[in-house]
Amino acid sequence: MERESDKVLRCPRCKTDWNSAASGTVDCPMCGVAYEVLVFDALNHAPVAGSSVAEAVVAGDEAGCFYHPEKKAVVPCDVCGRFLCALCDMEVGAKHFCPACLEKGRTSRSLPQVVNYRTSYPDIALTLSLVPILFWPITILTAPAAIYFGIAGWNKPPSLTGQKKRLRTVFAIVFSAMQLAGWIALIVAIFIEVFRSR
Amino acid sequence: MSDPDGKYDRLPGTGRGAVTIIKLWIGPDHILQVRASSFGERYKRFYFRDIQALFICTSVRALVTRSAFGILALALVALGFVVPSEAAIVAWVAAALVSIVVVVDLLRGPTCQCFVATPVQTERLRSLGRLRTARRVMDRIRPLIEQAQLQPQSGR
Repeated sequence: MERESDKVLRCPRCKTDWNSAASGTVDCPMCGVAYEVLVFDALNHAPVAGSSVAEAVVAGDEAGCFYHPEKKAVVPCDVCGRFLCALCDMEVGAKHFCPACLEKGRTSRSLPQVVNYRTSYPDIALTLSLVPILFWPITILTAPAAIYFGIAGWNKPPSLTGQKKRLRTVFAIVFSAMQLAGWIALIVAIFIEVFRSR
Repeated sequence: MSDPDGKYDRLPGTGRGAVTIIKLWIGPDHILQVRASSFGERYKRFYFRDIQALFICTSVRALVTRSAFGILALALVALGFVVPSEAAIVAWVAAALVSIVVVVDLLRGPTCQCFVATPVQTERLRSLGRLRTARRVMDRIRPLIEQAQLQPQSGR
């Protein structure tokens, strides 16, 4: 929530309020940095603390909120369809959620609109296959791990931006398989050498 | 709606942290800042209808970098004159490589810092580190923000 006094521009660096709230060039009076500023309508329509108050149901034909029956419903939840008042309406992008569905979607990561982190299995596999080359003895452990992450992440949800990074995964699996093949060859060679020496 | 995977367009510019790469993507109703590391991606959304202001200010990062590399190149050239001929060639090749870095940096143009202000935060857009790129991105997102804020706010 924003206060009335926040409807002015503020220096991004020193946080000093400026008198100006218009697009153009602004020199911060405090830190002296010159900014090119683009101002949008949202600055003039910033929400004011306490402005989002649910209205009470006054007429018999008005629907009440599922969570606050005495408050007027303004929108249904886009997931469960429950009627919501202005207080319970959780607006994310263009969708409206009730608190329960939003929380469920956040914890189960089933709502892309509220996902704020995704594990990148292809990147983990690639890191595990490439970085340990510098300390090659540990590749005996990291190569199987890279293959595991590559396979385990194959069908996981990709990046929110839609990048599947399949090439990365394939490279990591193939390169790790080569490392494992090297280890197997080394172990076999040692066994043969020991067998011959007897 | 901005939810389905793969409905984002990449915006120019790449920022680099200690172990992260930062990029901006544009969705139907918001900008998505992606901070990618070797283990995962962290997302931050800036909805067009919430953006109050965009700020660009020039920075001295390029000047400092170019000066440092320029001095290094000159030092390597000078070093070439005082060492034996084989070592001089190495020093001059190194000076040439450093000079290439300076020239590439010059060609990329001046550096800047960009910020986006919403009702609840002012966030630096670290992927927009070059003035030319920043202006290009601003030109692209400005009409989208204005259009989104012309539409009546739904719900409340």
